[in-house]
Amino acid sequence: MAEITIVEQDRLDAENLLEQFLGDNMPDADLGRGSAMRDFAITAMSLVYAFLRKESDLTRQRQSLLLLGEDEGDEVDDAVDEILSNWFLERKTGRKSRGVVTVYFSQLTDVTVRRNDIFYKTNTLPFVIDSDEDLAYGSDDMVPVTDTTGAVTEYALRVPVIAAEVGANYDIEPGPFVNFTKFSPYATRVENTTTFSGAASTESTEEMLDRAPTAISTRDLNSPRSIDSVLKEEFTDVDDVTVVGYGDTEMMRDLIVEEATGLRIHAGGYTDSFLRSPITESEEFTGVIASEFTDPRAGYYVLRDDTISDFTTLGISVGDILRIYDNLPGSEAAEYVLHEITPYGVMVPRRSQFPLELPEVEDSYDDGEVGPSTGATDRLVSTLYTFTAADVGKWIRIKDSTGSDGTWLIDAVATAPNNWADLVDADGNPAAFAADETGLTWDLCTRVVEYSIGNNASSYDNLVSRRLSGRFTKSIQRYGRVLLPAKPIYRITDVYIEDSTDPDLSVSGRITFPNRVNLAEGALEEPRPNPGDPLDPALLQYRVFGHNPNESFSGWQLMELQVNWDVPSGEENRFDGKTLHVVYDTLSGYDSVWAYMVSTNRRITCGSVIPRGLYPVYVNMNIRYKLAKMATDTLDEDAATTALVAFINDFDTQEDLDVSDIAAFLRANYDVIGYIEPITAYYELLSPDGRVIYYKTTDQIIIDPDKHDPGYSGYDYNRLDDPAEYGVSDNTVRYLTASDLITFEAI
Amino acid sequence: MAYDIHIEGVPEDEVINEKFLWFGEFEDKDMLAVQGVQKMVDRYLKCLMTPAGTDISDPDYGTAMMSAFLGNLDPASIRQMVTLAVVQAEERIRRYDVINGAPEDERLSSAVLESLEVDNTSVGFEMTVLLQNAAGTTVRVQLPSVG
Repeated sequence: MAEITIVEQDRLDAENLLEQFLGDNMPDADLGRGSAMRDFAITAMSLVYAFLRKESDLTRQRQSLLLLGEDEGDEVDDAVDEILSNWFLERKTGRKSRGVVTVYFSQLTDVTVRRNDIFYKTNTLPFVIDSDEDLAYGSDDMVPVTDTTGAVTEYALRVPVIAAEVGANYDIEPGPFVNFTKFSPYATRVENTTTFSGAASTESTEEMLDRAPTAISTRDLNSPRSIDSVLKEEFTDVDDVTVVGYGDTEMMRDLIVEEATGLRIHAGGYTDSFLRSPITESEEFTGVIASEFTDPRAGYYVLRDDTISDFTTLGISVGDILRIYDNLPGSEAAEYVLHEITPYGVMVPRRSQFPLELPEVEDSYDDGEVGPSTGATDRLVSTLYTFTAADVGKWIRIKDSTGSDGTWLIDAVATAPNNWADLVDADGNPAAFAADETGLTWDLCTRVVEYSIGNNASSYDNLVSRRLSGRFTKSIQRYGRVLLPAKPIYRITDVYIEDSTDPDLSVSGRITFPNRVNLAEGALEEPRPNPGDPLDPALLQYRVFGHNPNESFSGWQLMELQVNWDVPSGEENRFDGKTLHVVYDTLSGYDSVWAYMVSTNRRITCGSVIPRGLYPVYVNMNIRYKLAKMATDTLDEDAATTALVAFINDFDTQEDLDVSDIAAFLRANYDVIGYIEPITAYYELLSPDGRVIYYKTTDQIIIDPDKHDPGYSGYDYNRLDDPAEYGVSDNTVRYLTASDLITFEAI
Repeated sequence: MAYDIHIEGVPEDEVINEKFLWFGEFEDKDMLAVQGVQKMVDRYLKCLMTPAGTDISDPDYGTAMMSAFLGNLDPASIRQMVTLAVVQAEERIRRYDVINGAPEDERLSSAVLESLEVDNTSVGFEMTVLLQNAAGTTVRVQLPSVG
């Protein structure tokens, strides 16, 4: 119970009120000063009455968020919690900081970091591994560290960690850790090379009251106000939400472009919730280059064919017709308009997607034999499977062979002298396996995709002839590429292959791709090598493709990273099959928000409401300054960098950042600075289509084509002349920076 | 005219600790309502016999008279303190009368210590005070003996 303090004025007020009240109700009683009646009826009661009155006031205050907001203390916090719990609002408990530590070892070893192992940045700042299970690493996960002579001095291992407690003080600066649990006898030291992020202290009463007005609106994802409320309430990682919906200029997901006339219609029914959440740095993705990846989007849009190595070489254009011969009424359509042509397949529009994955596979085997040695060139032989008459009319699909990939109809079967099936193609012509092959992987299929592609109505077969080998699939695959995780991929800080065997490209056990470039095929730009140039470690490049810009930075993002193109003949597949590591920054907690918003029990039944990341814009600048004449100390540039990073990263998304804001911030916080040379800010938009768009300004830092950096904008592929076409505006971008993007220079 | 509750000094054999005033003892009644001169007398006596500093609403209310009787003082000092108390109570009640707008017969005009006898062998005393209201009526008030 709250302590109630009665002061003299409270007692006097009580006396006056009692005197007034009793005088009105008992006109015959003498309540004057000095009377016995006053002693008994007023003076004796005044303290009691004052107490009750004060308690009443306190109770009234406790019932009013308006009045509570004017006070502070633990009891006020408790009262606010109690009141807001009536609307099922809870105080945010804060967030834990996350980051990656580098552990150094004196020799290569396998090591397991346990969940209860502790890393101490200081004695009061402990961290543990960011995992629900112990983390096991092999010696091949360690990277050799070399000295200037090239000799290996130690080995480094990157371990993700999370703060043991919530609190902003866990967002630590780069530097050594003072202690750690000795989980390996060879572990010598620990450090963090990047600033940790993501921490937040427990929500204050003031912050909670600010949030409350929107929090008590409808608890569903059906209005900007309620989306804001629900996400902030459910997820401590969500600091702010910018909602873009029907009628907003940034809404592009609901745009339907009629293929023939180009008519553009915004159909509505789509809402993008752009999240402002803490940045998780140095998240790492690994993927095998040129392997098959799965399209993260719901539905099937890709038609692939293992017998066609590159669809883009066949003269197919958007708008051509994909004809399906064996479509089932009520299932597939007979014809599809092609929406996108890629080397690994052709895509159809999302609104007319394939209904299911095909072919339907009854069983798979890896013992197929074909070729003349089987006794016929149209025959597949198996020992693991016994063909029966019931298999006639089914299909066999051979894959991963040297030269026999394809799908055929089973025309006849037999079990003597061996177990075989006679195969014919879509036109009834016998298969022709010219070469002997054994150990083939083959599927016995009950349904296949029989298709052709063309622009010759009404047969539509002049570009790809009728064949049985189509696949409706979510599989995506292309040489030299990996499919990045379906989530907001912000700054990519490292792209490498752990490979110490490449004589030309391996440096310290890695092949590193240091240069990110844009996507124009065949367009050359320094330091990009010319086709035919030998590969040079310093010039290795990567580029990013965003295939669905309108769904970029979301859980439906289809974003590829390519590390090999325009290379000398014979080098096209140099990296295929190798494991590519991609280190990137992302939004903390995004996966949870995504799962929540698209889950079948929370999503809006009549609309598509998804969370996305604000389009990141990374600001970098060199600040030239002079010390003040009266300055008694030099500028602590590390501290100023840290403060400026926080200033820019925390800048209100709804406001425009200005170079003068930065200069004013520095002047206000560092009085040792006497003069700041006019600042030129360079900033890079990570465009929804995977490109980096370069800007330069001396005033407002905004997305404006007029501010394209002339150093880059001479190439069309470096320009974004109509950002609205991608839904990019200053309403949907987020300005970020990092300590390695800010430099100070004393002049 | 408004009524006040009648109070009077506690009889000598009823004095316990520092309880000097009570409602009196009457047939079939726990207390009486009074007005007029008696109300003025009650009010004066209450002030005179209330030890100063014991009223939570007004620490200056009351006098040191009862302390003088109960303390270890010689008769001369007691007389001086009682005389002073009679005057202090008169001033306080007259001030209250002005604030309260008391009618003439309830308004104190003067208070005079008529007699005081102190028992040197005990803490007992006997005293008489003459009170006169604004209407000119004089009342002789015999304070209850305390001892």
